[in-house]
Amino acid sequence: MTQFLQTCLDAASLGSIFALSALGIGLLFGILRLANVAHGEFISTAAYSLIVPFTSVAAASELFIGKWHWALVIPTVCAIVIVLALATERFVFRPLRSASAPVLMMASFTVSYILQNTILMVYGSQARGVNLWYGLTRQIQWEGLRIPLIQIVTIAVTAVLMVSLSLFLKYSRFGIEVRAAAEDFRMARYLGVRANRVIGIAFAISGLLAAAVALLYLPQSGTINYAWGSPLALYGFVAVVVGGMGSLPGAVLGGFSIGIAITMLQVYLPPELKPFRDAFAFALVIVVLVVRPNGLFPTKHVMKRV
Amino acid sequence: MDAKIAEAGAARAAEALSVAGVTVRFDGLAAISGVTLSLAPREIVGLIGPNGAGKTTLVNVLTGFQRPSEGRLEIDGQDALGWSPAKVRRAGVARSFQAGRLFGKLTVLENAQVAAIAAGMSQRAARARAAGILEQVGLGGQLGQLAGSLPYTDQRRLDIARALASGPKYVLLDEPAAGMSDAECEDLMRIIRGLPDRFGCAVLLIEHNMHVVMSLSDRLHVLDGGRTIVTGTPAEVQANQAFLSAYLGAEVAE
Repeated sequence: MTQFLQTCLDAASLGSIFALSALGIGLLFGILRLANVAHGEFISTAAYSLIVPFTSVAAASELFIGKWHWALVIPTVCAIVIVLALATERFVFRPLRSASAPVLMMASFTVSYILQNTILMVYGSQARGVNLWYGLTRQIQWEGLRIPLIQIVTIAVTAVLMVSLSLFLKYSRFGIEVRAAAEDFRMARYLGVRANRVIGIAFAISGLLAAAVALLYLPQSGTINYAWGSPLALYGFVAVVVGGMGSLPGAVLGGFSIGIAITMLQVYLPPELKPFRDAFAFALVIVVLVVRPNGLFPTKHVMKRV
Repeated sequence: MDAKIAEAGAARAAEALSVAGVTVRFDGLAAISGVTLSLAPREIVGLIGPNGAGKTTLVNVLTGFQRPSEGRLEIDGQDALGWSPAKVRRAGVARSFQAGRLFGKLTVLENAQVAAIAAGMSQRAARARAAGILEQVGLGGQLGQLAGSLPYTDQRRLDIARALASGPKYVLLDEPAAGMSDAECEDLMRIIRGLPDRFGCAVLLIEHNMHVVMSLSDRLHVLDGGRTIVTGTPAEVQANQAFLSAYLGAEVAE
């Protein structure tokens, strides 16, 4: 039982990370039909901004922003990624506003490669150990459970972010505009919704969520390389698709489903198959999509809009 | 002094939504040709004609959705040719859509509210205005319901409310009574008849239901084959031979 509860906690924590990643991707997909491959590099950039650039490889990298007090680290990293996301929007996706979805996706691939190579140039290709918030890896003993503090923080922060985001979308004037634009962009523009502002807000939120993913996952992973964010974004994508494209609650539930599936496979697969855990996870994804092509939580409007 | 009065008079004369000599060609075929129409503040004009007469094309020209091949578009004396639909709307010309195109996942209130917000109102003012309009079109009891779950006729009324939410001076209604029962039609007619007084806007009414158009319109504009065949009061139009033979030809022949 204790073992099972421990597994559930792991699943919830990993699921939180994927859900946040999926939300950042799903938000842009909902409004722009943009499958933003560069989301992974938003996450990587958040992580790399913590360490000193242009240093020789050392076992543990020297912290830069990461050395500051956490109350300064969090807003600074968020600001960096938000600026990056807004710049991407301004200089790449805004000029392509009327482009088709495949063109947008190719554009996001190029952004992804440019950012990845910039990271390579500035920080090198070697993996870097990053010792962020060491205290968070401490474990709390409770009723026989060993609970890493970071898991509690991850789940709590994710819950707070999701509640705030849904309140923002539900009640603020920007939220109503964003939701209207996500449903019928052309109609929203016709009614006078300022497209640039709505899309800017969506990119900023997407950047904020990418920063959150990086800051929450880094203390658990401990090491980063130039492609560190890509798998997190990939799982985010899969979560969006599994959840049902165009639905934010679907993206969140999709994220948790994948977190649960991967954690369970990790625990219950026979040891000789564990190295192939992700293959099993993706096989499950294919099964889900074959059985429910519109995802687990489809929206009625998806089919005609894509 | 006289000059000032004359100037004011000229400004008033120019106060209208109008097209002059408008022709729209698709691949060389004219959908409408040489149509001239104007809508003055607070009047209700009926735009009628058989299917394919070019009514919706004309509405698209009047709202900036279709750039005409020839002709002029003016809003209160300003040349509006080539303006985007959003800019035409900001200038005070709103429309409803045949296909509705509501935001199905937003509530009834939010659908009207977003139009008011987008027109520049604060969140609170937009909410109050939207609620007030919805009350008047008879949707006051369904504010929290998702628009996508409304019955068809309620969706049409919500579409009208959304068009009104930005406080337009001219509102173009594209077949608002389509699919409505007689009782629902009466209800809709009461709403449309009240628009000039309650909302201070003029109405261009595109409608197939003769009873609705004839009893609501101050003036009628009849299109057939993309051309204007008759204009005038409902009585004048109904007495016109061209109208009878072209528009109701089949019925008259019987």
